[in-house]
Amino acid sequence: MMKISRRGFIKLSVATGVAAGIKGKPILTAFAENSNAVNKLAQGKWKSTTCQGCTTWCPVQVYVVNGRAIKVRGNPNSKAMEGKVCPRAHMSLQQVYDPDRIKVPMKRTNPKKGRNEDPQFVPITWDEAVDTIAEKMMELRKNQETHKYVTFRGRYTYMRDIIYDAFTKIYGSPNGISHSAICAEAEKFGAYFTEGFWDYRDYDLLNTRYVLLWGADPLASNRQVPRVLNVWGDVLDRAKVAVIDPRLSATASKADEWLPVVPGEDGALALAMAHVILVEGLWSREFVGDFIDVINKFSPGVSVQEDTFQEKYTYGVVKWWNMELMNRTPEWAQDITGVPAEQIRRVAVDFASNAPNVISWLAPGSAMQVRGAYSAMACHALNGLVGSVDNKGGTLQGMKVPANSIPKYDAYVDEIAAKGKKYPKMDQRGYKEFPALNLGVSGGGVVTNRAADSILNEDPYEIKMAIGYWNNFTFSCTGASRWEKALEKLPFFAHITTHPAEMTKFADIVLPAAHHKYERWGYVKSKANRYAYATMNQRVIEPLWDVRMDETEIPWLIAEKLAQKGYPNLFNYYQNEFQDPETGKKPTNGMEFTLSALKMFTQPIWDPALNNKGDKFQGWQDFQEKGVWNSDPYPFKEKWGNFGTETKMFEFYSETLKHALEKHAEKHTTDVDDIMKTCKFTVTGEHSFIPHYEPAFRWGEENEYPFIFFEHRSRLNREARSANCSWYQDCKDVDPGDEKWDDVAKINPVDGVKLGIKTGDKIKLISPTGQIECTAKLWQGVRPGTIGKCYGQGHWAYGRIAAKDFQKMLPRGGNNNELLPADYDRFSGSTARHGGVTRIKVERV
Amino acid sequence: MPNYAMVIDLHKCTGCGACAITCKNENNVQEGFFWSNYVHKTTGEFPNVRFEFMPTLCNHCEDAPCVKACPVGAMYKDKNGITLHDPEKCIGCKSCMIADPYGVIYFNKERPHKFWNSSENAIHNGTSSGKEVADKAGAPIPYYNPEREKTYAGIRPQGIVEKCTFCDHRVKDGEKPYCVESCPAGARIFGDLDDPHSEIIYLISKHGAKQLKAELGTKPKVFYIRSY
Amino acid sequence: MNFYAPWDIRVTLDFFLGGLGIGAFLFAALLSFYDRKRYREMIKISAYIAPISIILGLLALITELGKPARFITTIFRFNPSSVMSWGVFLQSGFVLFALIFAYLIMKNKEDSGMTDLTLILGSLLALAVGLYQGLLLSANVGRSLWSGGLVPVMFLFSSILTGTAVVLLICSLKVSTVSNVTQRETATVDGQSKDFSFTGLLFGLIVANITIVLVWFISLNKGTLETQKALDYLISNHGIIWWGGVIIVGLLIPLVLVLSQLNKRKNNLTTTPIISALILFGGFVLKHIVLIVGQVRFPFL
Repeated sequence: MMKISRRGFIKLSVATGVAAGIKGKPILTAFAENSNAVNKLAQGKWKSTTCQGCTTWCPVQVYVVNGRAIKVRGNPNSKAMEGKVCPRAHMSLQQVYDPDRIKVPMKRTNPKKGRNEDPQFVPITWDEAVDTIAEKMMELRKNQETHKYVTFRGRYTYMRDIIYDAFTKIYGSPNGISHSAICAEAEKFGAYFTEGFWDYRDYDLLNTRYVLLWGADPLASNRQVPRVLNVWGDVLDRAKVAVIDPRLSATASKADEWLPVVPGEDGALALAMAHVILVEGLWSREFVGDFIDVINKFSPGVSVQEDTFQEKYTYGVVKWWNMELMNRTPEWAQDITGVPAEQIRRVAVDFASNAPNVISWLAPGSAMQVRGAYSAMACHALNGLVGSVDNKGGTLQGMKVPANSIPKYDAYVDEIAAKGKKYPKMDQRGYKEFPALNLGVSGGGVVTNRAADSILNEDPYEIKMAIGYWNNFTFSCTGASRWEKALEKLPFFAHITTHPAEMTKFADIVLPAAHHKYERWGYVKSKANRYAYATMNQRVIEPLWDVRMDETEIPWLIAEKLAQKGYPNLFNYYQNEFQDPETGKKPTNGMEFTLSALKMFTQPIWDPALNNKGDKFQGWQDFQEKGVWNSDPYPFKEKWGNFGTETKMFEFYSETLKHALEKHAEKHTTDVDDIMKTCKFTVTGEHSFIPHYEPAFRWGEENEYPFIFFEHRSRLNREARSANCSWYQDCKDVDPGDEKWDDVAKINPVDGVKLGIKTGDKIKLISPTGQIECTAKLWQGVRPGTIGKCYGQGHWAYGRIAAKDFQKMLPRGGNNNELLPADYDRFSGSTARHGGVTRIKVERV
Repeated sequence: MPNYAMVIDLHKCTGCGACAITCKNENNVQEGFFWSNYVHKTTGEFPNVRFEFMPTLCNHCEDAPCVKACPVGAMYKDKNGITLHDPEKCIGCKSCMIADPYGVIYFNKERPHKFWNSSENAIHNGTSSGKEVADKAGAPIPYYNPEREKTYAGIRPQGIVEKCTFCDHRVKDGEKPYCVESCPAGARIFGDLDDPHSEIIYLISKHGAKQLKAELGTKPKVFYIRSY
Repeated sequence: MNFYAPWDIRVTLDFFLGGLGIGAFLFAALLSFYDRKRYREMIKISAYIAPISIILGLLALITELGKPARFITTIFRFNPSSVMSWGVFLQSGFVLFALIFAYLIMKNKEDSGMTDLTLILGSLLALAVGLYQGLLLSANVGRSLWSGGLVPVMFLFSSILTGTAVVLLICSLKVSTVSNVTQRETATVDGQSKDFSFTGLLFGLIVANITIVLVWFISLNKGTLETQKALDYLISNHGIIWWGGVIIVGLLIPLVLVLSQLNKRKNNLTTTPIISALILFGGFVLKHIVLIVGQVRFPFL
């Protein structure tokens, strides 16, 4: 390439070929300069809806021409995403029109279940399908076994309560089991036990001066991708960016600093940075406070008198120093993390020097680890040290979205149902080894991945029937083969799905689901760019096939059947309690029910008489057209001194965690030390309540399994549902290091030489619990001794593109979850898929 | 007449691939073809590694070698400086592909969009086939963009080449090329090279620009500013 | 490196068969002006080979087109900047003259003034077509293996050599003719023209080919980084066929055989067809490798 200056533009008179207008066939129209007749071809309309390809949940619009969806764009009414979408949004066109979508209800005709069993599905009517399901449910009721029914929820909209909560409970089961813990609960743990906020944070990117990314790759994934893509050039102009990730991620490839941490040792790195910030005197005087005599006494290895420091909006900074930080020098961290002390110091100083307009951005990569709870706390605590929490250019909570919850259903729960739903939930939450401290409550959160063991071991009890929707646990949960076994054992399973997924292969009844973006009604809440928002899922095209909405229409159909078979309560609840708020009409079918429910839930948003915050609408129709409601912008510093913690302060010593753990210990009549040990942690005593160092936990011994395996996300993954799109495969190499139409394990060339493996070789990755085959890729973007691989490929079902051979059930590459052992960050219930949870060995195939 | 050109700001580019995907969407481009494309490379040694990404497309050269090489004048320069292709004239000799130094021209060796013409299915009677979906949707491919037909073959038939047209069908209606429109990073800027007040001239003079293989004298009109 | 070569072996066939055609024609012209009575048989064979061969080559090329039926449009949609556009006319013109010549020979009118005119114009077109082939490649910018003016000359030389070789091969298969030829070569017959030295011609052509191929190869070695990359690719992916096939089998062994024939100055009934066959093989491979490897594209980044 050559540099040229403006003077270099030499204009050239251009020979123009004048093309004659030729009357062409419709698809082969020749050149025609703006003839009106031709222009009419493309008269269409942009219709608002929502993209749920990942967890960002973007307000979008779909261009519809003659009933066909042909394009997608960001909803220009969105203040969070400012009308942008990421590449995933466009790919959904290939999902909704995927020939491999299930077009009719089906039933299994091969009674044998198993990974290698062809279910021999045959089409049936909706009536037969729903009748079969209702019949099974009535059978359980007859035997007073309603608790042996489970609703497995996957991705969802806020219509979820109709099926996940009301449907399950009125029928008589406690078992609404969500996917949440395979998603990201661990990172919420970090924020909750420091600032009392169990949710994802928002970030003020416009005003930030330093972005420190912990296992986060926001250009590719994690909760506000279009927003980040949109402003990143400006962020890079204004701010420094440092990325902590064992892999040279998309974001790392554009960052100022890449800290390729040894997987699972993020916590050590964060602690060393905290150490530097205190020693260098770079903490926030405004937020944390200061020594009474204003002289910095934080000196390596030297403890500090607690009463010499006066804290402002934080709690326990000196305790944290004395118990943990004073010896956590960069030199100490260097050997553990593989990141040079000099770089740790530089990043910490740069970060803190730019405070408070800085972000310590915690993502699943640094949190969803076996001992990730404390890493999550440590990473997030940096925001507390420098006062960037709830501050301009920093990390934020979110505005409230005004919406109604579902009407009370207690009156519809009959005796059998009441008895059934009193059973403990089946996922072992709250067990001694699974505190799952959502909102600080023992068993407050789900332990999704444990449900497989629960079914297999009949612990706490036997499960006889399940309905799953928008989920694919056989593919998406670590230790995936356990799910295959569990579903083999499960006597009756109905799957509501768009595609013949891996989980579908174990179904007795398959129900074709409406696509969330094009074919259904619903709404979701999210936030970015300081705005919270509610955005509607709308039916923007008429479905090509006879599909139904998972969260509303299908429960309605089942409720109808249950009523016919002698249990009318659910149907009565749906019909009586979900009247159209505008007309007062009772719903007479699933579609009316859906729309009534949606109008009810969102009434505080669209009803001008009720809404007094954020965007205003003239009414339902107006909201529907605009598609998105935006809150007012999030105000800074209002949480200071009023955090949701026990002390109302930002806690470095977490009284909140202490309280939660003590309650959990009490429940199991033991002490916190015992709980710590049971949950695979290494410390005792008060250390349990502060962000402290825990060595990474790994499966497998180094001598047998020499490599640390870690996985990451793809910027094209629609949660592993997009691998059946040709655009996904055609562009898979936009993930740095990856290859088109392939699934590669990224190996450092140094290791490649040692192993005698070169790029393109077929290899087998073997962990103590599983093995997969894929292609080797020697690449400098991973640390020697580690092997990284993207999640998303390796489907052995789902469709003819996703799988290498759908009929023979041969995967394209290998699913990481068959390699990863099922382990947990037990404190959040989260699946520990990151942090190098397992070691592996590599063999050539 | 404007002289259309594009600036790609590599500093803003995030390497997300939206340009490549949405181009397929806009122009009904089949699997394996990339009117809008990208190249990338990884250099250095761990931990000092650099990954670079560079979106590419037809450079709409002022002195276009593909236009020179075409024996029948099917590849031609439009009045507005865009390099266009006439599917009715093209004989499929591929001289343009040989002449093109950038690898942006594709040849339809087979009937295009095989996937959507296929009658195979995953589950007999339970799932559909490409052809069934296309027929039911009422278009050659279900998300077929009819706007493409305004100035070019909506889908290019077997036996001829095809390439990026700077979305001439959109540009003629005053719209930006779709890759520009859909770039979430705002890294692509389209404009008139002959208009001294255009944003592209401003950006080129402000940052200085690089062109691909400028030394060949093709005078490419895709200008790269800053670095990835 | 994986790459898609838009032009496949059918284009090589066009280059090769077209080369045989012009080579044979030029050979016929040479013999005609030397002694058309004495070499009547050889001239006849050459005259037939020329149009058949080039037409076969053109057919191969047409099958390579995506829209073969539109081939005819190249005649009325002439693009003056397109080498291929010129090529269509040059080749058509040559085919025309080659056919006329073949007709004249067939009708035993080789002595007419018409024949001389046909030969002169046809030869000029043959040379133009011979250069055109290489020009079709070397006119492309950024194709470093083809750049510079050497490829057209190299292809022309190769065409002449292979064209001559194919005539000799066919003649040699008609044993009588060959023995005739080779016998006469060493004899001196008074009153008649001096025997034409086919071995000498072959020797000269082979030496010329070796020279131009080596000059081309060396020029690549001294070229830009890009050129060297192309060369590296050629050697690392096609090294054996290049050195073994093109240089040793196609040029050096024939050279040695020709030299030994020149040395012994006596009949050698067996080596002529072998020499010719080796030359044809080498010529085909040369053009094919240059065509295919030249299409490799290297990344910009």
